[in-house]
Formats: sequence, structure tokens, C-alpha cells
Amino acid sequence: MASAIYRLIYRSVFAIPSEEAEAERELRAILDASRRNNAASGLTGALLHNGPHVVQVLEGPLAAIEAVFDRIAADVRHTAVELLQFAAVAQPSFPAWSMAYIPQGSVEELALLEPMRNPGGPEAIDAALATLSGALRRDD
Amino acid sequence: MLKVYACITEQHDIVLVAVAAVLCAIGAHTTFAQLHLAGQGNLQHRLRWGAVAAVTTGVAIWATHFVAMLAFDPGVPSGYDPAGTVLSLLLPILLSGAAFAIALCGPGVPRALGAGALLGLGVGAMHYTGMAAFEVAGLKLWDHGTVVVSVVLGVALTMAALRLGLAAQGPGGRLGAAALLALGICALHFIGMGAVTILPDAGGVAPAGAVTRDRLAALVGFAAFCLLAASLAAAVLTSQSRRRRKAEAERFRALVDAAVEGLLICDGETIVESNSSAQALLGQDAQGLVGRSLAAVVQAGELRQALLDPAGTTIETEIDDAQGRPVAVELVSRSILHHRRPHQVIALRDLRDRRRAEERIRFLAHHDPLTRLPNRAGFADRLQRLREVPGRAAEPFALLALDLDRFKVVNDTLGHAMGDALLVKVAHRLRAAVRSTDLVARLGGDEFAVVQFAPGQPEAATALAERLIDLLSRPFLIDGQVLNIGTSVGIALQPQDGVDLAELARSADLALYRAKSEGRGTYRFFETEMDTRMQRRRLLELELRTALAMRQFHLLYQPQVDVDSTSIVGFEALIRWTHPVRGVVSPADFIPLAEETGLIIPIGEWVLREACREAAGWPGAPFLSVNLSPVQFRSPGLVEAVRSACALAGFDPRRLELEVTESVLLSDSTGTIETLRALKEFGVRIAMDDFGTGYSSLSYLRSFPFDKIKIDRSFVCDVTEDGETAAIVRAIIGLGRSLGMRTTVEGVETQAQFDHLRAEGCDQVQGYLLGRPLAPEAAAALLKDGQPQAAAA
Repeated sequence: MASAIYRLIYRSVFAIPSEEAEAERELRAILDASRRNNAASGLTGALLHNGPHVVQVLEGPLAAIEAVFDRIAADVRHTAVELLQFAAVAQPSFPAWSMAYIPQGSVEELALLEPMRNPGGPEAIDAALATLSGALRRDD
Repeated sequence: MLKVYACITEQHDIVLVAVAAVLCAIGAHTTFAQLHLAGQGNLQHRLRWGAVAAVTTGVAIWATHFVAMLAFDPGVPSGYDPAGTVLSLLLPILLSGAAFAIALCGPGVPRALGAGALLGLGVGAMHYTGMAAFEVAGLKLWDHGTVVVSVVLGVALTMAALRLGLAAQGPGGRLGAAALLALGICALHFIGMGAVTILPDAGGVAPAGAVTRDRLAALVGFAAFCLLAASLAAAVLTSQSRRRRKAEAERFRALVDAAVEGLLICDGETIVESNSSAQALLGQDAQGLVGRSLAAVVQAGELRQALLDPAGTTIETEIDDAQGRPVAVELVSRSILHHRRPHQVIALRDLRDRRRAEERIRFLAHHDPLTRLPNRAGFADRLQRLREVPGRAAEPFALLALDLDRFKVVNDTLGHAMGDALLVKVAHRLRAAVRSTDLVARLGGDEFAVVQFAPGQPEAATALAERLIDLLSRPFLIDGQVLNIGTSVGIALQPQDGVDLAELARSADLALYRAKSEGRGTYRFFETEMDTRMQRRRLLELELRTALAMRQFHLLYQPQVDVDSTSIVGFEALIRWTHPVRGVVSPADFIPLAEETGLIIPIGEWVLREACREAAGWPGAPFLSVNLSPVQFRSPGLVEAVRSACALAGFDPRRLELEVTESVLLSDSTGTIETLRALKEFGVRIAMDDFGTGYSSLSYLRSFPFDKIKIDRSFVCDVTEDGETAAIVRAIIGLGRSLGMRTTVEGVETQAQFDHLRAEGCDQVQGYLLGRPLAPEAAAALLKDGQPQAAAA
């Protein structure tokens, strides 16, 4: 099934500058690049961050996901890279976002970061993603 | 007109008139043949053949006139004035020369018409000067109207002749032009003749000084005829030889152009010929090459010198093409004769394809085609060349040896295609982890190496090793699968851990070995102590090989006693090594190394043979226990080795008991169990040794019907004091009994232990209490004497 949608969630510690404005700028730059690349390769997803802690959700064709993860896994600015989920899914959670950004301190982030930090199995992740995409839809 | 007709028919001999007309026609034809030839060459050639044509034409006109005059009978004595006659020859030559000069200097209708007019005037000038030099004994009366008509008609016809002849493409046009010219000459002559009336001077004689007419005219006519014929023949031959030369030149050019190699012919430094291959190679057309100096092709002066040497040479070099791109070529030069002058021919052989192929071969020889990283040879070569860069030879660097953890499992379980895809991704991450000045190589299999050029060691190497371990411990996603591997890293620093690559690589490998044996996924720096330990190991390995050859091993036999009858029922064969210097070496010190190096296989076979041989004739036929190492199970010859040991010694296999540890079952259990079955079918009994240590999984006991369980000696020490130990021993004995397996306890040293075990229902015991390991003779003697010294109480 060539058109299967896969979902990959990883978390990592991203080495960003300690100065807050600069960190914000760099994160924005990464987000922009990621949105451009994702749109080109048919990927959607979301990015959560809390200080240097990053959780990213990627959804789309297998080859595109593997290519993005190859880049991340070879990127020395990331440390403690950990795969939280990698599986075929029936429905993408973020079909409308090339990369939804959930900023630090937002209500969604506070509600969802914890389940992402300590994922309690696929059901817990699915539940967290459903809440997250629901919250984003309400905002829209 | 009538007058002209009457003049021809009444005053002329018609046969001679015909001869004059033929002569005129031949002359006219020759004129155009020569003009055609003249039009095909360079200026010098034009001038030469133009002049020849002028002489031909002048002579033809003049000779026609004379022969026609021969046919003319004025009816009175006549003669020729020599000076006027000579002038009448020179005038048409000069005027036709002028006409042809105009015609040959360029194309165009006005030129042709002008030239034709000049030629016609030449014909007229000839006729009337000739007539002036014709002296008769009488009076010449001229009809001026007819004279004008003759000249106008003659000029008009010669104009038409040249107009047609110069534009003519083929021989047909030239023939027509010749006819027009001949007609023009004849018309002028005979109309001119009609314009004159000769009134005889009665009693007149031939003028004084005049040459008598008939003989001279005949002579001149004949000579002119010959001259014209020779001139025509020359023109035809020349034209033919030119055609032949042209065909030859075309053939030569076709041949030269067909050559695959580029060819240049040089006259001195100047290129005079080039073929199409040379033009293609150099990106130039023929005009861009011919006439230029060789320096435009071969830029280096000394190479040019060598190429232009008449002795010839062969040079491999690089030249620039017209676009300034370098072209690798082989240049071969030779001296040849070209147009009867020595020239130098230079062949250009395009080496670009060969160079590309060589480059490709070099790349393949120095790189791993899968990951495109340098291979072992390429790595050594690259490092060598980096170190040859001035100033870098002394630069310190770190060599990191990497070995992937768990790669073999991926390769074996998921297939080589997956393994290959994984290696490609590993290479990608390694490249991402190092700086551009560092060097990454795949040394083979799952071994990689990184050379880090950095000051501040060992901190820099530590950081890099941590980075490498981190990157490779991250998951790999391949075709929807998640693969987790990792790496161990050994680090050696130049110069302290080795000066050359071989020494450094050895140090890094030792450190890697340590990193792997201390848990994997980690790094170790080389330490000198590793080296000495490794050297000790190597020495021991060497000595073990010697020991086997020099028969430094011997066997001792420890009794096994039946608990109820306290009689000896069997012996366990134990190996000992008497080292020539160190004395007796414990098996604990050399068996692990023998297993690691595979030496355990020949040693194990020797033990089997020796034990069977020594115990074959013992009284009472006790059973014989021999230990087998898990490594021996990996060798396909184990069953055969047991069979042949028994056969050679005439030893009953039912007396043989082979002891294996549970680690035998840990790896590849199907193959192992098949081997155990084969041994059992042969009649041999199988005992589970050292039970209670390690995993002691009950599933092992279920996986194969062991004949006996040997409870490890570690349980015996505490069995009388520690309730838990006693409970475990009791449980194992009970388990054995219910599975139909006998139990033996090793390491029994006290009477209390013996009594306890007897009470628990253990079948057999072994230990110092019941007998130390004995030499074969002592064991045989003990059997003969009867009972062991202890435990009878």
C-alpha cells in the first residue's frame, strides 16, 4: 500500500542559544524551513518545545518521513534523540498543518507536554494528539 | 556581300581555304582550353597560362591569315615585307594578351565583353597590318565601307565568343565559344579580303626585298599548325594531370579525415594541414588551424621543440582546446616528406576516456562501493597524503576505531539488503559527525575508522567519540522498520600511542576490544597496560600451540563414588598442562583462551582420544566423564571425533559420559540438540554440568533428555549450614529423580556434607573426600585394590 500514512514522533534536546530572543529567532527559522520542506514532500505535523526540549510529530508518506528522520538523526545539534512512535496510521492528526507550532507556555503545550514526556503507550499518545489537534482547530 | 562571295569563289583556292578554317578552329579551341585551365589556379598560374593562351591565339590568327593568303590568288606577283609581317604577328599576341589579362583578373560580363572587343581588335590589327605587309605588283584599292563591316562583325563575334567561353561550365560551351571565335577570325579575314581590289601594274615585278610568297607561307602555316597542336596537347595533358592530382588530393584527405587520431602536418612551426579528428579534438575548424603556429595547440615551448625534432617523439601531456579546456593527449611526432619537403606530422591521441577509466578504477580500488567511503587501502593512502602536506606531518591526531554493536544480528535476521542499507545510513551519520578536515573510512564489514585532526587531545577525541556513539545509538528507520544498533569506539592518539598507522591502528583496536568487552556503546582510550596484557595473551596462545605439538598436556582422573555402595563407579578426566618454565598451569588459566582461539577443538579431541585410550583397560569398566566445550559443538566434526576416539581405543561408548554446560544450549539450540541426539544414539551418556550456576533454566532440562545432572560445587560448602542452599539442592535432586535423571554433587570435602547428601537421596558424589585427581596408573591401581580411602564410615 504505497499511499499509507505513517506517523513518527520523536523528542530530543535541541541545542539552542541561551539568549531567549535569539533562541526564538532560530526556532522560527527552523520552523520555516521545516514547513517549506514538509509542504514539498507531502508531510504534515506539529512541533512542541519547552526550552531546549522538543517534541515533533511528523505524518505522511514513509519515504518522506524516513528522509526527515535521517536528517534529524544525523544532526549533532539534537541530543538525546528518542523515538516515541513510528507506525502506520489510519488518519493524520494534523492534516491541515505543514508544521503546527505549539509555543512554550500555551495552554495546549502545558496540557500535552507531560503525556509526550512520559508516553503511556499508543493509546495515551493518540489521546494526546486528538486533544492537541482539537485545540488547534478551535483556534483556527 | 556578293563581292566577298565572288572573292572567295573566284580568287581563292577552296581547299586551302578549308585548311585555314580548320587551323583557325583548332586555334580557337586551344585558346578556350587554355583559358579554362588558366582560370583554375593561383595568380602565378593564371599569368602563365594566360600568356600561353595569348601566344596560341595570336599565332592561330596569324597562321589562319597566312594559310588563307596562300589560298588567295591576286593574279599578279606578290611578296611579304618582313618587318610588317613580324609586326602582324606581334600585334594579335599583345592584344589578346591584354584581353586575357582583363578576362582572367576577375569575373563579370563587362570584363568578358571588353576582353572580347580587345581580342577582335587584335584580329583586325593582324589582318590589316598583314595586308599592309603584303606587297603586290600593282595597286591595292580599299573599299572602306567593307573594311568597317569586317572589323565590326569580327569584333562582335569575338565578344560573343569570350562572353560565352568565359562563362562556360562544360566543354560544350567552350566548343561553341571556339566556333564563334573561329567564325569571327574567318569573317574578318574574308570580308577584309573582299574589301580589297588589286589593280595589276602592267609588266610589274615582285617588289624588291619582299620574301617570295608561296614557300614561306607554306612553311609558316605548317609550323603554326605544329605549334598549335603542341599547345593544345600541353593544355589537355596539363588539364588531365591536374584532375588526377585533384582526385589524389581528395583521396588523401578522405583517408586523413577517416583517421581516428588527430593529425597535424607542420612546416616548421606552421600548421599546414589538419584532419577532422584534430579539428574536433581541439574544437577548431580547418581555417582555425591551418596557417597558425603550433604554439596555438601545444602551449609549452619545450614540448614543441621535442615534437618538431626530426627524430620524432611520444609525449603524454595536457593541452588546452579552443575553449581553454584541458585535454589529456598523447602526442606522437614523425618526420615525413610532404610536397617533396620535410614536414613534421603530429598525431594527437585523445586520452580523456582512458584517464576517466583509470580514475574510476583508482576510485574503486580505494573506496567501498556501498558507502563510497574510503576503504582500508584508500584510508591509508589518504592519511599518508594528508601527512605529506608540509607542516601537517607533525600535527597530532586521534585515530578512532569503530565497531558496530548488534550489526550482525540485523544482517543475519533481516538480510544483507537491510544490512547494506543500514551501513549506508551509518556512513551518512559518521560524515555528519566529523569536520571536513577529518577522515572517515570503512575498513570492512561493520568496522569503521575516523581520523581527527585536532589539538587539545584527549578532550577533542572524547567529544567526538561521544558524538559518534550518540548518533549511532539513535534509531535507524529502513522500509518502515526501526533498527537499533550502536557502536563501540577505541581511541589511539598520535604520537604517544604509535607513530605509524599500523601501530596506531593496533592500539586503537586494543582499546576497541576493551570498550566492547566492557559493555559496548562506550569508548576507551588506549593504555599501555592493554598492550602488555594483549602480548601476554598472544604469548600464551603461541605456547598453547606448542604444548599441543610437544605433548605437554596430560590427564588426571577424579573418582566418582556411588553414595549408597560408596564404591567407585566412574572417573572424570581432567586436563593438566605442564609448562616447561612455569610448571603446572591450571585449566582455568588457559581453557578460556583456547576456546577463544578455537584451539579447544584439537585439544578437546586429544583429551577424548587420550582418556579413552588410558581408561580402556581399567578393571571393573567404570564410566568415564569427559568435558566438552560449547565451542566444540560449533565444529561439525564432534560426533565423528567421539566415534573415532572410542573406535581407536576399543572403548565401549556406553562407558563414556560427556559433560556439557548449559551455555551449550544458549546459542543455536537446534543444531546443538541434533548433535547431542547423534551422540546419544551412538550410546554415549550426556550430563548437564555445573547446574545451579548461570540461568539454570528448567526449559534446558526439558529440551533434551540428559542422563545426569551435576550440581555445582558452590552449593556444597553451605549445604550443611544454610537452609536455603539445602532447599535448592533438595529441589534439584527431586527434580532429577522425577525427570529420570541421576544427580551427582561435586566438591564434596567433608563427611558431614557426604552424610547430608546421602540423606537427601543424591546418587553420586565427587570431591577430595572421596579422592583427588589421580594419574592413570594410580586410578587403575585403585580400581584393582578395591575401595576409596574415605566415606566408608
